Amino acid sequence: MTWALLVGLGGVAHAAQPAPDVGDLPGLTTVSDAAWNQLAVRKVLHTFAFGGQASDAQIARWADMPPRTAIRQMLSFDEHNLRLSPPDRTLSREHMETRPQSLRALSTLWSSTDTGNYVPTARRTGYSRADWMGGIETWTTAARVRGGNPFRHRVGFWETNFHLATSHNKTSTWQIIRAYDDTLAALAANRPYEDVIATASLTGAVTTQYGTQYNRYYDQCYCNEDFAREFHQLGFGILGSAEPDYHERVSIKNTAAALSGIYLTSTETPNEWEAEKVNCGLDGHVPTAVEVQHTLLDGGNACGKIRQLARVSIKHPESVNNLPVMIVQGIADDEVSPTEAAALRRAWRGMPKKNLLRFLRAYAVSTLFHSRARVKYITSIERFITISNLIADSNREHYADVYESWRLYWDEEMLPFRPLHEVFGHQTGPEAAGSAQIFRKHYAASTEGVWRYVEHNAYPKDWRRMLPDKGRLTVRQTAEWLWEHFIVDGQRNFGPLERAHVYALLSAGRDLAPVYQPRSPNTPVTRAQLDSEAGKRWLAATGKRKLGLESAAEAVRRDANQRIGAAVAFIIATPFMLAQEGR
Amino acid sequence: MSTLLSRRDFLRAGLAAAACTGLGLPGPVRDAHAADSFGLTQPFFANLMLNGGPDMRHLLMPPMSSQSASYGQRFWRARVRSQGIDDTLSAMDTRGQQDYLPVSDGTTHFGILARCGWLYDMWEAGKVAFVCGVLVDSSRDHELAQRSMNMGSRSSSKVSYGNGWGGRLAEVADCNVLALTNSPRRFSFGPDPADLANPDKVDMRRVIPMSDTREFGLPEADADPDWFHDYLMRGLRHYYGERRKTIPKASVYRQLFDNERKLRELGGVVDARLAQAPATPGLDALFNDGSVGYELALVARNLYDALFMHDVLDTRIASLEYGANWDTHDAQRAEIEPNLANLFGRDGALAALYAALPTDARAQLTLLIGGEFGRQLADNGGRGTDHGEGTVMIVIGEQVRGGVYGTMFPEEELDRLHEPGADIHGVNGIEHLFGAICDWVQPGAGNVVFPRRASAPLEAGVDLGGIFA
Repeated sequence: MTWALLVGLGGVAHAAQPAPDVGDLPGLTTVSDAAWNQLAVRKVLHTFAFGGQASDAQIARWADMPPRTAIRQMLSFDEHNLRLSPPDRTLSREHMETRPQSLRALSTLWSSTDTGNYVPTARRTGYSRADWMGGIETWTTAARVRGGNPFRHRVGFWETNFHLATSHNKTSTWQIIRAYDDTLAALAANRPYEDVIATASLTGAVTTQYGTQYNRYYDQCYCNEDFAREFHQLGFGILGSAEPDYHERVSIKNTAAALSGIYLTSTETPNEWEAEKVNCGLDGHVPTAVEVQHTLLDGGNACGKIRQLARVSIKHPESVNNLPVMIVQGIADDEVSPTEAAALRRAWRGMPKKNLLRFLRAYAVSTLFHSRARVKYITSIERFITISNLIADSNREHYADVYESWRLYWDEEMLPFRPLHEVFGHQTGPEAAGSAQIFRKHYAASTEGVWRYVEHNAYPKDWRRMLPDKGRLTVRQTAEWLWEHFIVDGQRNFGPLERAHVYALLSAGRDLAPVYQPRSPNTPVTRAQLDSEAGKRWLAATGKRKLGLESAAEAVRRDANQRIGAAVAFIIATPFMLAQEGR
Repeated sequence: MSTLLSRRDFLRAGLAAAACTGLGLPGPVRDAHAADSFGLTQPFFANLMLNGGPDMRHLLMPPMSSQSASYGQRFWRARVRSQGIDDTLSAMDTRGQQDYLPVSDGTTHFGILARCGWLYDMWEAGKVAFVCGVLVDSSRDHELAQRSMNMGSRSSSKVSYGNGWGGRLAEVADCNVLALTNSPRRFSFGPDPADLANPDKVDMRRVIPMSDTREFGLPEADADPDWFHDYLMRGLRHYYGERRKTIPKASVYRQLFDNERKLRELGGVVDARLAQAPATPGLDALFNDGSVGYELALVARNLYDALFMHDVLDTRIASLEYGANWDTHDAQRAEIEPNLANLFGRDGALAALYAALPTDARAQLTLLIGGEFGRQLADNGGRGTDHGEGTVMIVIGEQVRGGVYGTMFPEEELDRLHEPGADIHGVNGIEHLFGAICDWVQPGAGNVVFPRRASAPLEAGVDLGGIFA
């Protein structure tokens, strides 16, 4: 239980609430203990924690627990979840497990000369809040750092890049970081979800994004109603469909007035336009109570009125209908059916106090999540973070940027905090899956860019640190472990073709055709060949070969590590890395 | 029914097109390097989306009038802040005279923002239709309205998705849709061929996702592979080629295999064809001088290439977007005018595109340009405008019968000018305009793509069926 105090915006302090129990939510049936296995655990980690960094042993322990017990350990908004993200003990001075995990704190650490900072000197300025890339770089590393909590950052990413998204095109690094930290702090304090949305709404990033700080009321409202509308639409899913005239003429207009009087001040920013602290003043604030959604908002300033409004909005029928679907669509399921949407709505309605963590935990162990009907297409950012999370065995790899964040930022042109659709959110899974260009860039990263997986000077890879039994495995065992580690499908899609290609790379360090049929290296090996008796014998024999990771000879080990890297490059270049089914 | 052509067909078509010759194009706007012909004999429709709800009333203003009760003066008064001028008659008059070019279709008198000189020229040439009071969606929700516009469906809900009207049109016209956007817009998503009438079903086989025509295809291994990158290139090529044979049609992974196939099969063909593309210094200059921004330069060149490769790609429909800030809640004049000038100026992207195109391409091309909703009648306290409903869609092309369709400045607006939230009424359902475009692309397609067109709202006296000559 977390009982810490959260200091909110606008001078409002929030007492933290006890962490919610998973419990039953109507509409969501918890999977049986039998169905809750390692595959189920890995699917949760893939979707809700960018894969996480949990050890195989920890995954096995979670799989052995009742699902509700396990999910409480797996998903929490605490700054550290050391089961999900064990610290990197090879970095003796880092102590990430005891360091604050706010983006601000991590930005300070990684841009500093602190002896516990293992970021190479040349890369440190990129983490600074004074740097345009500061928030982007800090988040990208924070979501992967061992000793933190990738679930927090998964949800934080959705909240700030999709739900109430702001764009670095219009906002400063300081504003982005402060908004992110304030939102996550509200979640960590287990505040009711409407409070979290209100907190996010009253950040410098949102205020600057929408120009709300210019809303002033002097006899009449000199206001824009941009955020006044999006507070309802994006924040709560309320379009005002039942009474459009009232929504337009009363609710939107008065929300704009309620937002009047806000001004920004600097805590640490050098320029006023970058200021990150929201103040809700009386000068220029509407002097009376205003009616929104048939409720008189009588808070004394914008902060008071918006927090009051949030408590009304969360109960609005459209919000009850849309918000749970928006959350699940945004994080876990790109193809929510009407039946599934109805179940999610029932679950949401079943929480008298809306709590995001309780909802996500209940959903993550539900038959709805672990259903074959669920489809999640993987976005560029999810893919990059997940793959590098699953490959890296040390924070040093991220600090050295072995997995090349420039490919994500500048090749795929996907930067955290610079949403593709501005306030309407970042690249969605279906957009990523539909884009041939994104496919092409990812494909090129595994082919033209394969060297980072097989031979990186900054961090020579030793797969003994990751593989079971310190890598004393056969080709087959290694292939199956790698497939399950990255693809997480119970080897459903690891058929003879996939197996043969991965075996060839692992056993010979070559592609399949020259290994299987040396005289025809440019002729594809067919499924029929592999299904033949000769093909089956080849697979069986090749699968039994040893990799050589345990060899005393360094050259042999190096060669084995390169072959594993090539196999990883192949596996993640298959379509099965780019989408996930529920079961 | 063809979807993607075979590689042999591509090559044959490419060679045939390369052999085409045609007439030169007279006129001062023609680029000296423009090709003689693209061999384009059928209509080609390009849908350029301006996401964000652009304020077309900023582009097209009524004439300022000295009559205080007139529409002109009262509308100008309601817009002085978004126009960035003082609330005086002289300021309004000066702004109107200096910054708007007066035009008329004989009935409606209005001004086109002077920075949009190319649009003015095209209007004067009778090649521009302004379709007014277009109704996409009444929610004023960007995401929902964009989805409605892309789907060509005004009954979309916050959580409903489906195929797009470009994809449905492609199915009827038996061609592919070229998605020249970062990621394909829903506009280009096709219906399930086995369930054509179901608006919720999506099929991507006719979609060619090509965000940059000059960066297409997949890396290929050297003839004599000698390191991991080559092994991976060849291995993955073999793998995808074999594995796709057994991927079920309904598999969620199908479109990813299709992406690989499209890139693999089309990449070489596209590169080969583009190697024959004429020099386009005017379009290249858009990239080099940075005047219109990279995104819009890419829009122009992508569309040029699409027209040039229409045969090898078997396409007559292109989907584009210009993602500048059109959602001008504040500082509208400073925000929207550069965007409009980049698009419609005499030094803008469309001018450069048209200058580079040969006669046949210009003759067959129709552009639809618009956003998901209009703005409110009066400006706001932030010198901008807030979300509204009815909007103006711009249709440009040699085959377009230029003019104003629908009422550009309804007198009834005067009574509502100072009502909170009053907006331009959407009175002409998208089905009518989009359906007319469908009929132009493929005769008879309009009623198939928009089966409920007849019941969609339409202003009395407006006939969008006559928008094409």
